[in-house]
Amino acid sequence: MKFTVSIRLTNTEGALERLLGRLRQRAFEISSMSAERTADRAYLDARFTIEGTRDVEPVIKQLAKCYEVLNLKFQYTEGGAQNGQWQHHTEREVCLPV
Amino acid sequence: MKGADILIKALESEGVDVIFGYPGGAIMPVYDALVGSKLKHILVRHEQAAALAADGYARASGNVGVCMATSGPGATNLLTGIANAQLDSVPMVAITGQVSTTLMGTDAFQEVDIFGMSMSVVKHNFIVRKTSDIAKTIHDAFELARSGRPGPVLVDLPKDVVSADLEDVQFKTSSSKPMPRPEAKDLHVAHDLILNSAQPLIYAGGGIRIAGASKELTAFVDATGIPVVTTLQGLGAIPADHPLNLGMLGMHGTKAANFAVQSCDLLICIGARFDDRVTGKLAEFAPGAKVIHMDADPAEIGKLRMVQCAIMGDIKVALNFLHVRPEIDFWVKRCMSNKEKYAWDYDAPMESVYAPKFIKEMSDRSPENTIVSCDVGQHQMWVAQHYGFKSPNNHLTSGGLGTMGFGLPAAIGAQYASPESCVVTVSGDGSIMMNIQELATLKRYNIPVKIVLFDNKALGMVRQWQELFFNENYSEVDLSDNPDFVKVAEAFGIPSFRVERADEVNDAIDRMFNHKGPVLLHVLIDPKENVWPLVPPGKSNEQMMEAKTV
Repeated sequence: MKFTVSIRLTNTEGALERLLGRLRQRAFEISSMSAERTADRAYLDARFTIEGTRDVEPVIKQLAKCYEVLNLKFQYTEGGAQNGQWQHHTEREVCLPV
Repeated sequence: MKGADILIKALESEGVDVIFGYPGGAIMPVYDALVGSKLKHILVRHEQAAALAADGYARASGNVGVCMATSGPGATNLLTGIANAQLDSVPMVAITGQVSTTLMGTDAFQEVDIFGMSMSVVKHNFIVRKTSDIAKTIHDAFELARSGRPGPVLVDLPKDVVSADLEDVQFKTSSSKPMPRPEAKDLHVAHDLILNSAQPLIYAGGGIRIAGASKELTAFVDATGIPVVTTLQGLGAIPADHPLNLGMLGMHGTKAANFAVQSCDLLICIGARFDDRVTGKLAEFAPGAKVIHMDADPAEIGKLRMVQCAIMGDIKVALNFLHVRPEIDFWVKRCMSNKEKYAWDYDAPMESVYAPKFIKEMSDRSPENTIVSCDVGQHQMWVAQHYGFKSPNNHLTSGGLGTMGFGLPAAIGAQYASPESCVVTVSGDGSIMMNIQELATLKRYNIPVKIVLFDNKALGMVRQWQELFFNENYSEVDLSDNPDFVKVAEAFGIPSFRVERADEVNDAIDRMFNHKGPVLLHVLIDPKENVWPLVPPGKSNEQMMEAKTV
């Protein structure tokens, strides 16, 4: 299974590291990645191309649980039911802090 | 106002009354500010115990537990306790000192990257690099720790940040936000699934305690007439003596619970997560069941088991809405028949102490609202099987991480959370040695925790597995050279006495409960005693081993 994840996250200390750790712990391999800070320094726009043998949906939910993640979309590039279609992940843990 | 004063004030604003901690170089400015504050600091004797005591405090009180340590080894010693809180969804704020920002990254004395090290065992973590961020960060840490699915949050505070001065600090006061209501469409799907089921079963977990929904669960069970099984963390979510409670499911669950799970056609999972100790062979867990899953954490839905209905949000609202009565008389009779047929047998004609019977007697003789914490191993499972819990807040056990050494510090935390309650910790001769230094904490503060120490002169659970699954090849489980635990306790100034025979048990339990201060009861048990039943690894839950089948 190969998929691409596009994420906007707040530009806070360790935010990117947190995402990478969640992918590594679940044995996903990153085949390419890029991240760019927005002009106002407030956000990062990151994009990962990822390969793995496990189900994708649980790791997407784990990435979305990171509090730095503001929005997340992903697409299967190989395998998966909706090959090539971007899917927006909107579900967040309840009661987020303001 | 110094950064350390801001920290103390921020903690007070969050309603913190007690901190479990241990001072050291980088955190010294905070300890300096602690003097004269309203916060009570409990000096433990190892930082791991600080985190585990904060965990016990949080479980017993429902509030956020707070622990504190210095940089380097102080911080790394907290990690096991933090991971313990993460695995069992316990709200905690861990504060660590750090070397000054100018020294960070220079391999300075007592410098470790605790922010990076802790990242995989926290719900969230922060480094505070500006004094002006301290108050807001502490506020956010508490919000995060207790919101949604609770968990530990670590705040790393460099020494220069807490030493600097700042004027005009604003403090926020936290207020708990209500959980959102579940979606009406999901509730209606669940309603129909329940109404159309012939063999429904409730699978209740630690989420009931976190949501404070025990009363609602019991009302739901009474209204629907559906039998219940509970996880280790769910014990007490419905009273142990409720007629429809079939007991704990899983590896050391009751036969009635495991048989019910394997034959149900609808599994109503409430605040549980299909843990491997619960499911056995996942592919064969509840094979014929549709699943309704209620949880605060979206990431748990569909993680290990596909569900037909997911309900997010306030469990209480969901449980109160779903008061329907399916036609399940035949199923309930079958469950009740199994419950009666496979009831625990405490008839053990032996002179030595039979641990399950000891726990049963302790349960029957304990004062009202007794809190029991456990260590990890055979004794932990005997407590789960044989103690009749009436509230989930009264059972503190390290379920997810399985942390030997949890029991004593957790009991200390629980006693501060509930000073009027009797607090007992049940330990083993392996586990007690992991944090035995906390006997000094009991003595220093005269914390009236009762310690029941089961001694089988072995690492009993590992020995049991080596007996059953490793051809009796006993490897490094012998503890026959244990110290004299009665003398050890007495050396710490804790009264202690020993029980060796079955006919001494009842008097010893009464003597322990009647003792006003801390006390250690050393209980010698048969080294060959095992925990039964047992679902072997890789097997499904109906394939339970019993003593007579070995």
